[in-house]
Amino acid sequence: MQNAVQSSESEAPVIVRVENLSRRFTVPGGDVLAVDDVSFSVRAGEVYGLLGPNGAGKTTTLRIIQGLLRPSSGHTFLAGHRSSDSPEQVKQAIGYISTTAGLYQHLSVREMLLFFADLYNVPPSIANRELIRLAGLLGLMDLLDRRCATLSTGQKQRVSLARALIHRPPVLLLDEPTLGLDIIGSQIVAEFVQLLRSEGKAVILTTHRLDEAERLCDRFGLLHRGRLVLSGTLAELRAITDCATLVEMFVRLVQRGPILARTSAGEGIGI
Amino acid sequence: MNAVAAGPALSRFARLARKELTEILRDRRTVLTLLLMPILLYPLLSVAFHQFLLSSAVASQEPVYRIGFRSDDEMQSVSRYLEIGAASLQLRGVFLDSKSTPRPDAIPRPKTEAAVFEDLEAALKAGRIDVGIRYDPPGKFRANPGDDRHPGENLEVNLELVYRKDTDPGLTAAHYVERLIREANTQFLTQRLRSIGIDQRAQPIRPTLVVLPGPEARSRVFAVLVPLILILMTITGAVYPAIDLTAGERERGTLEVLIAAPVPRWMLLGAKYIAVLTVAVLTALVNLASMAVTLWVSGLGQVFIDVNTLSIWLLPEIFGLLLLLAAFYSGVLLAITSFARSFKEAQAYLIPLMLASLMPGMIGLVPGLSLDGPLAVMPLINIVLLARDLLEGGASPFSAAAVVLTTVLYAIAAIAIASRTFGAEAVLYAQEGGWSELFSRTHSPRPAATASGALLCLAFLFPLSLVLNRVIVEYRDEPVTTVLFVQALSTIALFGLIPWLVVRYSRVRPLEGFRLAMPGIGACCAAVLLGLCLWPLAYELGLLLRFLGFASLSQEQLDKVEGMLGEYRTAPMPFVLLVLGVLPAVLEELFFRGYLFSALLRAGRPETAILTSALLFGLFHLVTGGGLAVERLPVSTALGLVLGWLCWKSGSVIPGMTLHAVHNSLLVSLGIYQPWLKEKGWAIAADDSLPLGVLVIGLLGSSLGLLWVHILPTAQVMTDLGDEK
Repeated sequence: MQNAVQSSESEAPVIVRVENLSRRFTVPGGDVLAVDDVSFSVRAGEVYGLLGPNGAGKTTTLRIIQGLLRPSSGHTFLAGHRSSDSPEQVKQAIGYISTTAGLYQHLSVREMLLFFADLYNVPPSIANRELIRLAGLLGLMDLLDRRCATLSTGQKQRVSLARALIHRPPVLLLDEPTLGLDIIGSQIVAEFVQLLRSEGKAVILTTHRLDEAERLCDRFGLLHRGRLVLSGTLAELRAITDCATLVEMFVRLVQRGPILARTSAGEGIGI
Repeated sequence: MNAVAAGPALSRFARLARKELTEILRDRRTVLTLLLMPILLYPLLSVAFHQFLLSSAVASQEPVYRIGFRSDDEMQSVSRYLEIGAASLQLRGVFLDSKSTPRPDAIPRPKTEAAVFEDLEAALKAGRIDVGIRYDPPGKFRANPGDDRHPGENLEVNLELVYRKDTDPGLTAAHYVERLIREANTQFLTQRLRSIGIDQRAQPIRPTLVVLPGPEARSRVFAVLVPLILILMTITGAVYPAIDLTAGERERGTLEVLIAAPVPRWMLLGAKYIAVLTVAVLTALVNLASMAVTLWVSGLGQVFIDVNTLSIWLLPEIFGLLLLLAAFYSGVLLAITSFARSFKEAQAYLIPLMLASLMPGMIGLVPGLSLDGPLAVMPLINIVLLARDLLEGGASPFSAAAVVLTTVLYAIAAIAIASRTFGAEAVLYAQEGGWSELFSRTHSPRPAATASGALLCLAFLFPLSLVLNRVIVEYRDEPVTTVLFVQALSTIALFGLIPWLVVRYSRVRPLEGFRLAMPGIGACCAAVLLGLCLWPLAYELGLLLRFLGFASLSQEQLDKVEGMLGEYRTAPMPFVLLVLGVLPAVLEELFFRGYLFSALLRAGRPETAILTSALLFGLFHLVTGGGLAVERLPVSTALGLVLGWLCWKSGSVIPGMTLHAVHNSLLVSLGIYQPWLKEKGWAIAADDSLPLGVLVIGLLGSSLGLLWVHILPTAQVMTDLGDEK
């Protein structure tokens, strides 16, 4: 919890700002509000956990931030750029990690990483240097010339982490980064997040594993049915909800969702 | 690494394309279609063909006819008569083994086997003979040609040729025997005529078949078969990579991270296009090589291809066609597979395309279709017809250029479509985004069209302009005012109406999208100066190009232009100037420097936008106007460069319109007043240089005008297109 206290007190610049974000999907039988008026911000060196049950709107929010989905209303700002105005700069500032993201099976690890460096406009000479640095950091040195298809799940995950960092983005989006990973894999992710924090990145992490979130994140946003019902550090959330753990908060949230949402939803709680 | 400094975007594109190619070539399934299929397919096909040809070869050997007689006597007398007929036919070149030159329809000489059967009909029924010959009524043929022992005597005799209804050799044997008897009859009659002192054939008129070699030097089958095979080969080559590099990305989960990268969509699709194109061409080449080797090894080549008519040009021609087909298919396949969310879905989409592709292949079989008018711009059909014309040795450079250009534009349009759909919400998140979003218009007005939208519009305009030109040709016999009127309508529709509709549909703000800003007075003055002074340079550049042989307008076409000028002289001059000078200038500027230029400027740097729009402008003038005018390409492109530069500096399309209109009107006036000028001593004939004074004034004025444009402050009104609020 040391981290949480430190970062909320620090005056690091705000890197990610999400303002009144909404996204409506048209499905057979009517419209669904997948994200409903969500606002939050993340500072440099801060790990923000976007939590919620399945279908709460976590992934949709991340996709809107990346520019993969257009918001129905609201805005996102990244490193000073407004997504709707300069999508390219916003994309350039983001590294994205997800366990559902695949690798190019027929490329070697080196080729794959250099390809993504190219996509992110990293000059080849710098890309090569960055590749070596990340390979050392993530233990990929011996794997560089192996085809991605031959890697184990854990190795693939480390390649994915390297891919997201090759262009040195100030913002990292981690969408369910530990989904389907074993203990060692999860541990690597945890160390990776620690590394990102120490490098001063702004990190947004979605997960529904609350124990993990408690361990990794500095601040939390609890999403329920598209709405951000709670936001703050663990200490702040405890004070508001009278619950000791995120799990307890969640159970109450889901059961009494609407009431809680009416009394304490929105940006600014405990901040 | 040096290349990076030279052109970062280009070398980045090359690396992206190399990645796509590496990925697809390492895929075992690609290698399977690329190498294994053709290497196994053609030898197998050739084995089947061999069987087929062997059986037909047996049929084409000399047939054996078995003839039955009732008695030895009959057999001998009739056989002798048949011999005479056969010998005569042989002399006339009816048989292939004749000593004299065989007739064009010569056949192998049949063998006859004669035997005696007591019951002819039983022998026929038992299949022991093909035809039976008997006297009816029974009698004896007493005379032979050369035997004039019975002058003046009636030697008529009736023979019956009996054959079985259900056997094919029976009828042909009977026909053959009948032919022999007819020939021998003629010989016999000639003999008898001679014996009574008439020196004449029994056949007073004898026709002889004479066949001239046709204009189609190469075999028709070849010309129809090759495009069909090429279509099938390029499709087989392109299908797998196209699916794998688009729908495959989604299935592997790499699409999302790819789309999340800040790389222009067209660059991604362009790289994929290069990869698909390469694999398609490689596949087709391997196919061709395997086919050639199979044909050569199996000896089937001589059956299909007349070796004498093969020229060294055939290989590059076929390769060019193959490239064209591959360019077309790679684009179309990518456009279709970009819609798909999985391999299966992509395959389902492609089946109709493949079936539809066979139809144009068959079109080549339809006789009398010529490659012009609407057919010249029909995708795929025009390639097939061009292939047919090329292989028959009769393709015109104009239609070839039209086909190549339209195909390239179609491919670009397909890539533009693909880059819109690839990674679109509906494709990326099928469960969330609706398809309707993909086709929906944007909600907010935009300052300029997207580059892909503009290129799509161009891909539509170019073929339409070819068709409209064709329509104008239909009116050439009408009064000159009607011709001018139709021409005006076509220009308005092409560069006015269609861009306007497109702009309305895509919610581009017209004033900005067409760059219809109020220009500064300086820009207008510079434009007028350039309009007045550029024409001698354009004229001299045209002359120089003709002098260097860089020209394709024939004297006949130039004469036609001369004839048109003569007719224009009879029309009211202001009307002529309006239709030929001002209207095209204003509307072409509106499209090329307004709509297209704005869109290009939004996508890239100003230099690129100026260069691209100028080149497209030049290409448009290359094939429009009813003929291929190579000399117009550099001249129009150069003019396009000046106009683009002027448009960028002034921030408005209006100075360019002025320049273009003045320039056009001057050239049109010069053409029309040429005889009058000649009288005054200003000789401006087709091949004469301009008077030195005019040239110097033109050069000075143009330099001054260009300098003026150079010192104009660059208008900022529309360069910051990204900052719309």
